[in-house]
Amino acid sequence: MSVMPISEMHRRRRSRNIALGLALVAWVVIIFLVSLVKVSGG
Amino acid sequence: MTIVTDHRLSTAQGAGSASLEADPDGRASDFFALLKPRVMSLVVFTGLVGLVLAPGDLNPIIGFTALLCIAVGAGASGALNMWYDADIDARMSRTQSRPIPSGRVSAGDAKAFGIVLSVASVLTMGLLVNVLSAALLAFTIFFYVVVYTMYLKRRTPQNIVIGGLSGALPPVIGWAAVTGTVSIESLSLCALIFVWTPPHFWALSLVKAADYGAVGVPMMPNVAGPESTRRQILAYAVLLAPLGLAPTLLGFAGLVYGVAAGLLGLVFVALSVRLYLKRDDRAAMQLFGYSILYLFLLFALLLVGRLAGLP
Repeated sequence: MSVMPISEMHRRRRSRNIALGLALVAWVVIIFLVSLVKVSGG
Repeated sequence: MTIVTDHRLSTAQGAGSASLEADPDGRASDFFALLKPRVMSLVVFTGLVGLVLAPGDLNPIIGFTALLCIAVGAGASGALNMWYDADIDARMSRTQSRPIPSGRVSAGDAKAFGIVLSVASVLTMGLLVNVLSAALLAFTIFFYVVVYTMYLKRRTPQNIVIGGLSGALPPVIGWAAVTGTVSIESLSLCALIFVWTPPHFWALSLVKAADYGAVGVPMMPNVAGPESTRRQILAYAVLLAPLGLAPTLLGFAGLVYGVAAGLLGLVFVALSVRLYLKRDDRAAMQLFGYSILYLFLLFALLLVGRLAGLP
């Protein structure tokens, strides 16, 4: 099975995709931390 | 409304033809610029002061989340403002290098970005902080994007007077994040920023009147004339100076703040009188610069006064 090569479009969008990924991870971490605070009665 | 919308679309297509044909792949930094980071920093700062001054305790993680939601909500408003105003931004020297008119981000991407961040910030605030602060954040975004940007800005010289409410609400949101209420104290902070906004913007628009006139935005100097604008700036400054004392009079700031606020307010009035008498761009820009310093110092004094326990 051949792997589709990364196109020029993917290369150009790399920085914004990385930023989007980091933002989503940060959002999940915040929800997790606040859930811990609320569960522990903070 | 139809004429304005049609014009907006045609101009945006003209300015950003590259964006429509080539579907520009804006970089992360271009999307960050859509958030108007300088405006966002002032909003976060005043929101932080509201949060710190509010009576009661808030877990630091929840406090940080509330500030993040305020920041993202403010940024989303900025992105939607840039999406809607792309036509006039393309024709003003101060704004033509913004991501949409320069073709680095398409108008559609900016709109989607703004809507997603608006919804995410309000939902996160409601789920993780409290419902009132989320409702206030949603109202702030709605007021800035729909009431100010889409309705008032192109129709009335009172645009920034009424629209200034959206910039004045962050301390109320910060206060509500802690207490779950809206109080006279947080409303006094809101009133302070609300009354500060017209002289701040009109001082700049006196200098940039030609730019605003060229794109048809009815700023006060273009509609009522520079003389009337300078008189109104002075009137707002006279109203603003005593309002600065409200935190001390209401008992949530000390005497050090009160004395400083009184002196800073007098300087604001003095610079407004000077602008009224001298009638030149230099005096207008000095008042504009001082107005930023004035608001920053007042809120910094409130913050330091509370954290350091100043009398």
